Amino acid sequence: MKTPSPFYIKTLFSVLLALLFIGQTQAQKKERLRLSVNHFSVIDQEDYLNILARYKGENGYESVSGISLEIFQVLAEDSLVSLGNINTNKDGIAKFIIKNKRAHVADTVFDFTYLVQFEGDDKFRSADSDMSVSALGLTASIEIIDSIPHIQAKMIDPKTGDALTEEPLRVRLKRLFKPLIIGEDTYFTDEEGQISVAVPEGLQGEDGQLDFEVVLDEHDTYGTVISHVTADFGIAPTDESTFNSRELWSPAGKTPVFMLIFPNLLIFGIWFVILLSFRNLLLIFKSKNNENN
Amino acid sequence: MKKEDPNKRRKFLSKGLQFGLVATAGGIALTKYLSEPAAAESEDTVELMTTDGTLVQVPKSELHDHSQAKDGYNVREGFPGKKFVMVIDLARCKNALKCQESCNKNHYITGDNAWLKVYKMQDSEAAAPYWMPTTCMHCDKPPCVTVCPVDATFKRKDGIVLIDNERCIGCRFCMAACPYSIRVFNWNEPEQPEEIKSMPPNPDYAGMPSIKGTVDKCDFCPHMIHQGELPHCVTACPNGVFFFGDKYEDTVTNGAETFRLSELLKNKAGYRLMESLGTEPSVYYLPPVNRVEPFEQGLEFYDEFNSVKKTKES
Amino acid sequence: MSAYQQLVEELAPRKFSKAGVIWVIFLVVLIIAGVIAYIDQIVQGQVVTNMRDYALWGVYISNFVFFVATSFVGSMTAAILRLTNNSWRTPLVRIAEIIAFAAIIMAGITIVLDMGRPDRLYHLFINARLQSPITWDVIIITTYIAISFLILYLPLLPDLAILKKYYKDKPTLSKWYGKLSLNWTGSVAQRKIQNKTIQMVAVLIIPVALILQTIDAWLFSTTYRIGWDSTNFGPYFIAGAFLVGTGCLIATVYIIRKVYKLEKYITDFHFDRLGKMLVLAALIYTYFNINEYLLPYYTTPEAEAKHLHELYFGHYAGMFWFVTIGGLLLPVVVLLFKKGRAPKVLFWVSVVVVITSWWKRYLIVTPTLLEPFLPIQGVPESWRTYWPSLHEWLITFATLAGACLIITLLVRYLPVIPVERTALEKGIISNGKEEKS
Repeated sequence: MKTPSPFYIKTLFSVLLALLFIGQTQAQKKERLRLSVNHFSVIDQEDYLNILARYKGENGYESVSGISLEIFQVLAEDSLVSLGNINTNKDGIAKFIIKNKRAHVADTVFDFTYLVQFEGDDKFRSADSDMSVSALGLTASIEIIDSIPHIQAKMIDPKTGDALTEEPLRVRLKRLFKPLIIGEDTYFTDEEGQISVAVPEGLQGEDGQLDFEVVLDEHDTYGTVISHVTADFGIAPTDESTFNSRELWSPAGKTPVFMLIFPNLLIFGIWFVILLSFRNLLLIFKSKNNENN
Repeated sequence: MKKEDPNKRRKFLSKGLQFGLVATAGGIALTKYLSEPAAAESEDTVELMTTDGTLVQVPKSELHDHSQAKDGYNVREGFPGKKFVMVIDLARCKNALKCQESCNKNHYITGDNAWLKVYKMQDSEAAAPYWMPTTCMHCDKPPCVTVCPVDATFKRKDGIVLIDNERCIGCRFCMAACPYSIRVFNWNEPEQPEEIKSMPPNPDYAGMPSIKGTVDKCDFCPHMIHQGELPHCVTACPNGVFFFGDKYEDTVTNGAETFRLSELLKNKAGYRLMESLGTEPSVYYLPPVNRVEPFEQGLEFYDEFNSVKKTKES
Repeated sequence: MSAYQQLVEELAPRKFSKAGVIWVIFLVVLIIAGVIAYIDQIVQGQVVTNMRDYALWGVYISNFVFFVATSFVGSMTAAILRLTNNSWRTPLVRIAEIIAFAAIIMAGITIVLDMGRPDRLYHLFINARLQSPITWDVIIITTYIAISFLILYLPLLPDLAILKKYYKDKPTLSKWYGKLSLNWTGSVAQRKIQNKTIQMVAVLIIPVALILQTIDAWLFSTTYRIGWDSTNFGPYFIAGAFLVGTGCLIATVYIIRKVYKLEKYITDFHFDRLGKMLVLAALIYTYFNINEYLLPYYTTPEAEAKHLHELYFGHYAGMFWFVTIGGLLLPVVVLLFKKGRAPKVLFWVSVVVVITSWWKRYLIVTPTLLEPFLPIQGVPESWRTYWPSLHEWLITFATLAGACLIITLLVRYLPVIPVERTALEKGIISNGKEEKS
């Protein structure tokens, strides 16, 4: 059999094809990047997007740090305007503050739509994700009812001025790491779009200042909306630190007074005699010279 | 967030490409984010290790002395108007040791004695055993600071007790004075990575680097607080055992839950370790009652003779 | 030869015998070995010791405490003699001063050996905190070195002048003695200043020695540790120092008497007296030991009970009973009998007392550290026990050899028995002028 059989050729061909295919898929085998986008609106302050970049690794989801994302606003008829770029941090999170956004477009369901886009790199395929929100009127204030301070909040649709009812709101007190929930976990707005929450007694804050926030959390239409209200009826904490007083554990400059007096009396008393003795040795040495003279 | 519409997505993609062309042609102002890296490149840069262990290029002009940061932060005074406290809920601890793992990793602990330990405790034979994590108690009347002859270890205004490893003379009196046995000594040259060893020592970044012949201990992670983040052990714990916060705010959080410190201690009968000694620790404990998970579960991870897992297995 | 000349002849320093040379070489070899071990400790870190995070202090610290204790009696006997004009102790006093001086110098060196960063020693001066017992220790040891030197040196002046004359045929040596004697002529003016100064220093040395021992005890009792946190510790350490110092003095006096053949000057009467002193010291120390180890049994917190149990019956029982029987019971029982105070018996009892005293310090330091408040967990099993490493032994023996070498060299070059004073007391001379015989 000098000539190869058709079967043999066919097998060879299919193996080659398979190899080619595998090679191709390996070249293409990039991870799929997943972008989660949340919209935050802090009333009278700023709007921002919180973006989390992850991929499904071997041990579940892993964050993707240091990738560059471009953020667009989607305008009428799907035209895009770039709002800027941002890199994810070590936890795969990027906080993009929205500046220069265009006024909302009336003919869409939502007031604003944003698109976060990743161009793709050696490891990840390109990816994007969008986020649409509408503007919300959320006001918060402090009212004293029966001499007990209450946080009151009102939720309205800014376009129509209608009260938004049965919406969940949280009342929180801003803290160093995580906010402290005031009252119940969630309150629902009444027919006037309002909630009223009593402030518990004895809350502490720097200089008595308390920074409350009323929060609409991850709402389908409005995203996360936060409205701040400050109060000054908090209890100013007293400084417990012994840093400025003279204590046993204070640094050398703040030694307790008794600890300065007694040891130093001893030290100087004893060393006075010792130095006197050394001077006397010198006197003994000199007295001989005097005799010689 | 909203569910993505796949059709819309595809449309956006093509539009995106179009836009790319428009952008270059139209000269739409690009934000600072794009222009900044170019500026940074032209400057002298230094390689720095971030807290998560990755190397970043930082322009030399942005480097500043840790001890006198721009906002008037002084490493020996700490964060102004703060008093850090920790609450450890023993009912939740199942000796998963994630806290220790994270602490060891993030402080580059290479010795044989971890700064954060989880003790297997049983107060008396009839009483139930429990797991007790210990960190530095950051005592308000710290016996270790009292006995230090050279001011190497110090108590800050914000309650944190730290060590200046460039001044410590290695007399170990502080270790003898500490009733909680939390201080560790660098008996040999610490086997830390080169980039850690070459870092300038800073009390706020304990263990980075550790120095032979000096004392180390839990630092309450001021380097994390600086970034507004919780200490490593707090975030690493899967059960939310550790609560951390500012006592002046009367608030502690484990990341998921936030409580008023005073109410938490009142409702759950919080206590401090060896209260009778009068050291006034900044760490409170909640008793191991109504355990979340049975004690026996932790036995699987319990290693009586090991608290720092060595990376190089021989 | 006049009586005076004979006295000088008998009391002048003597050259080393063959055994003396071998002894010095032996000490130097030990010191060199220790220095090598110490250099290695500096290079490698204290990982070469067997100290770890729980046994954070070890033999260096207990050895340090031993030296501090040893330095006590030398100065005290000297001071008391000077103040009371008690003449029987004249031949013993300089030996006591030499021991004190050597011991306190070595104590200062030993504490540095324990430091992790001796290169940062200067911080103890530029950044000193007066609240720290270590600072007190640094100050009091420096003070005590100065004062031990003075109490040794001041009374030496006339003797150095005598040696200057005695070594006339050896110009270099004579010149050195002359210089060291500060050109002592024995003039009325010089004598007046000398007497006044000695009196002053002798008064001062008593409180300073008591403070030194007390601060040494406070290094331990200012911590919360079981077995250290005791208000009894100050006097307990003073009593212990009295015992070990007396033991050291007796042993050294015996050896010097034998080597220098000073039986004429240091008689059995002296040993009898020293023996009584040792019994007294042992009895006082027993009293404090009862306070420290027996009384707590009545109101023992759990940890303390465990600590005591470990000492009586546990891991340290062998050493504890060796130290208690050898260091307390043996001297009391043997030395209560007159025959027990015979030089040879007394010497061996003293040797046992000194050895047990050294181990006693080891027992004060080590068991306490290995019984912390929280259980020892999460560290290698070897960290739960402590026994000194080779490095530690070499360095420790080098410090002991160092003390012996200082004593040996001082004994070699100084008159161990005050010449002039002895002559005065024996009526051979008066007012520093030789009597015409």
